[in-house]
Amino acid sequence: MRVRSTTFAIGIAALSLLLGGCKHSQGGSITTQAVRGLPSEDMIASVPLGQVAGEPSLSVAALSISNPYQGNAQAIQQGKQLYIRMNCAGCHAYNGKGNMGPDLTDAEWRYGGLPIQVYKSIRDGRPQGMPAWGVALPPKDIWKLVAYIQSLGGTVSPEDYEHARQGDQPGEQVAPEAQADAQLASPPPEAEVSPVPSDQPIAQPGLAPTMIPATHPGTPVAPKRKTKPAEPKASEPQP
Amino acid sequence: MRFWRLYKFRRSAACVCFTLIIAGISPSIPAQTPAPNSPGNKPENSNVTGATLNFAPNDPPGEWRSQARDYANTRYSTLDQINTDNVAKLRMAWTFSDGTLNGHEAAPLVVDNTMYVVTPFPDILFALDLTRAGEPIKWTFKPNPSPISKGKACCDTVTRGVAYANGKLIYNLLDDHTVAVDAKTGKEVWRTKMGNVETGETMTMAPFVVGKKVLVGDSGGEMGVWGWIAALDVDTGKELWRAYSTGSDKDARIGADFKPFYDRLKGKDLGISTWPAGMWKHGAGSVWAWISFDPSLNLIYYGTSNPSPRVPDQRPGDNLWTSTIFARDVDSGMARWAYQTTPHDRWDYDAVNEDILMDLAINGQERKVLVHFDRNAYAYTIDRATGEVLKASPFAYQNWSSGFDMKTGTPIVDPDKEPHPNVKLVNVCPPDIGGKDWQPAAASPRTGLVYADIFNICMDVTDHDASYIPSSPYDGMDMHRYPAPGGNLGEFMAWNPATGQKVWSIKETYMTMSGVLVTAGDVAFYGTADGWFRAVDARSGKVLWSQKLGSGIIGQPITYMGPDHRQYIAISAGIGGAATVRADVIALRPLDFPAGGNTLYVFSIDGNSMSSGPGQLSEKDGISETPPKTGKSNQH
Repeated sequence: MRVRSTTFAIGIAALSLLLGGCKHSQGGSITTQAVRGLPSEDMIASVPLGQVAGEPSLSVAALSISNPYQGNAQAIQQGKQLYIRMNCAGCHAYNGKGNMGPDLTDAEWRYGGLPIQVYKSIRDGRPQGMPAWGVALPPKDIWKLVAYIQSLGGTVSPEDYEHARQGDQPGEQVAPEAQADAQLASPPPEAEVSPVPSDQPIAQPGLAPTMIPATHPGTPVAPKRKTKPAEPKASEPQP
Repeated sequence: MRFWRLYKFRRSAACVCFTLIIAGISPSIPAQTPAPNSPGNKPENSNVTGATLNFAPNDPPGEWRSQARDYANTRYSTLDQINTDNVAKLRMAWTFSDGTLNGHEAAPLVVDNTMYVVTPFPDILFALDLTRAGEPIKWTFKPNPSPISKGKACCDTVTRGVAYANGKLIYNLLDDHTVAVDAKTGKEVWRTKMGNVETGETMTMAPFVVGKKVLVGDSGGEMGVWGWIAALDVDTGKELWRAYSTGSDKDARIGADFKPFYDRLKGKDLGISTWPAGMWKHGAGSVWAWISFDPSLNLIYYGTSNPSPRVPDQRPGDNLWTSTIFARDVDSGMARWAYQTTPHDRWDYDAVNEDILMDLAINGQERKVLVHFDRNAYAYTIDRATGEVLKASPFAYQNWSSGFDMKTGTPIVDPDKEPHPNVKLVNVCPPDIGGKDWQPAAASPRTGLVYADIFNICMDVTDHDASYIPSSPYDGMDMHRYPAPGGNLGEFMAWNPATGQKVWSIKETYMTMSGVLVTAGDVAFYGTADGWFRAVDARSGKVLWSQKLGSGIIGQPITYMGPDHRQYIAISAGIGGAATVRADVIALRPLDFPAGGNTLYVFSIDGNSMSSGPGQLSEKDGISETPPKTGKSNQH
């Protein structure tokens, strides 16, 4: 994607102000030099999009890179601002549940739902209309977007990845009885913008300690159900 | 044959019970008596409005060659084998599954005993041989559109159909190409690139052919496109003219002949001066729905989309010529008049809905009018020679305006219903998809009425300032839709365009987002988003027949005469489109909502056809055996 519009440039500038003086000096360049606390480009580059030929079990170490901003409230808030200002919401909806683009709050990920895979989808774009944001956003902003998406309950954790790939995840009951639990009505209340910088990741990147091996064929599958964050209670709108 | 009669009797008896049971338990089905109407109850001279319709180009009565069937966009058929007396005996004759999902919004075409069915992305076109049992595929055309387009279409990867002209099938691909396919061979004749999909522009509307000109327009009102309509040569695909919806008068093909009725629409380069500096360049006004044509005035009529971004505070001004109806000379493309339905459109109301051309008397004076049900919930009856609004009254629940100023021709905006950035505005009606969306209405010259699927929906909306980033949405509208007072989401209505009044209506629990067909048998057909396909007495509004289909219906019903001289009714069932694309809109799409589908259903009296009935059918001679008699249907 070529950034052609001055409006866009202004948007970026406004965003920088909005985010309280985040340093965007490395924005727009893809570098192999690791930003402090962020996964290195070499590590990211080693993540394949598909299964590795000849290997029945994908064992690329870098797949288990965790998001340094995962669970960081400030980073999530900044990720949310980016999500709105970069027009992510226009495609994936303001609550992330999908619109023109896919639902980001579920376990169905066309190009992989691990944090590193989501990072790469945002950075590199995907063939069915997803633009590549790597030229417009610095790596830390993309990781903040991933953190926001993770906060919506989407993505797959490295611990669950083997199960997700093997299809071992439990199904979901979405019959009418489940309606009361479904997210209805209003998206989460508009949070105030808190322009507090949070350039420092709270978690160190690296390999997740546990990679649960895939279930052997013929054995019952009983992985844990993916936990989702609390969703706002369904409420009937009152016109 | 005796067995057949017995079988028929049992089947209809079972069906009666079923209908009664359903009517007893479901509030969404209006009370109805399945007993046939007594014959001879058709009132004479019962054209309520005295309206007349011009059916040019007068296609063969048994065929369906364009989406709206005629230039006037009546969607009226003169076939009457199926009528109020026997429509309750409609049964499935045959079906066709096209293998794709996503919203099925197009009507199939029937030309020369061949049916043409187009799919949503990847826009595959099938030709089905109606002369052979099983309606086998004659050929399949795969246009191979760019997969990028899937992520650029705002409201599902739909197409609104194909047009037939000069031996060719002409349609728009989601990736901004117009293609012409040889109707006999299924081979591509020409392909014209109309835009750059990577900017977010797509094409979803059905081409409209007038003589040698193919009229097409773009989609992308949520993507910051520069909206346009263009005319292509039907034989070569060469672009003949293009008129933009914003920008200079030159861009908009506005010249000396442009005579809008209202003063506020007069002036130089209003497509620039009614915008903040430069914002018209990405101001949308895409042309994504219907076009009609009056041969006597040589004018085409169509509407433009909402302005971009959808956040109004970013673009103070009237934002011409968005949310505007244009009349243009079909040969030159030059504008004759324009009328903006929603100035400075704050709610994404557009003006793209169909313009049905009728001739009728208003206050004793004969008028050539167009009838337009706008998304803004006003039904307009407009003098199509001058652009003067003759009637404007709400047809659906609305609260964004407190009335209509006939002097200026504009609705009076309630300032409390204007959205502003970062403020949650509660209860605006109708929502972005309007009191009625693109789903086209139909008009009957027998009743003088217009029939439409409409909505009963409101929204809460929070605007967020949007940045123009090519390839991504230029939108900023965070909304949640829910039922308006009454609780029903849908409604099917008959409208009197001479008085601007609703004649009758049928409320539906779920959205009603299908096209409408009305016939000389005085039957109107419509579908619901939860998959009910219904036939209604066009005079009384009484539901005469219903059938639940495999998916929700947002397609457009048609009727045609088969090679076996039977009248058939056809409709696609495949929910999707703007109604359902937003997964967050659970209030409109409860979890018992039907899943996607891709089936074309074809109905006939008693379900008789070459592809159904007792015993094995041979297709040696095309029509292999005399079909069972269908009773009254053969008397017409």
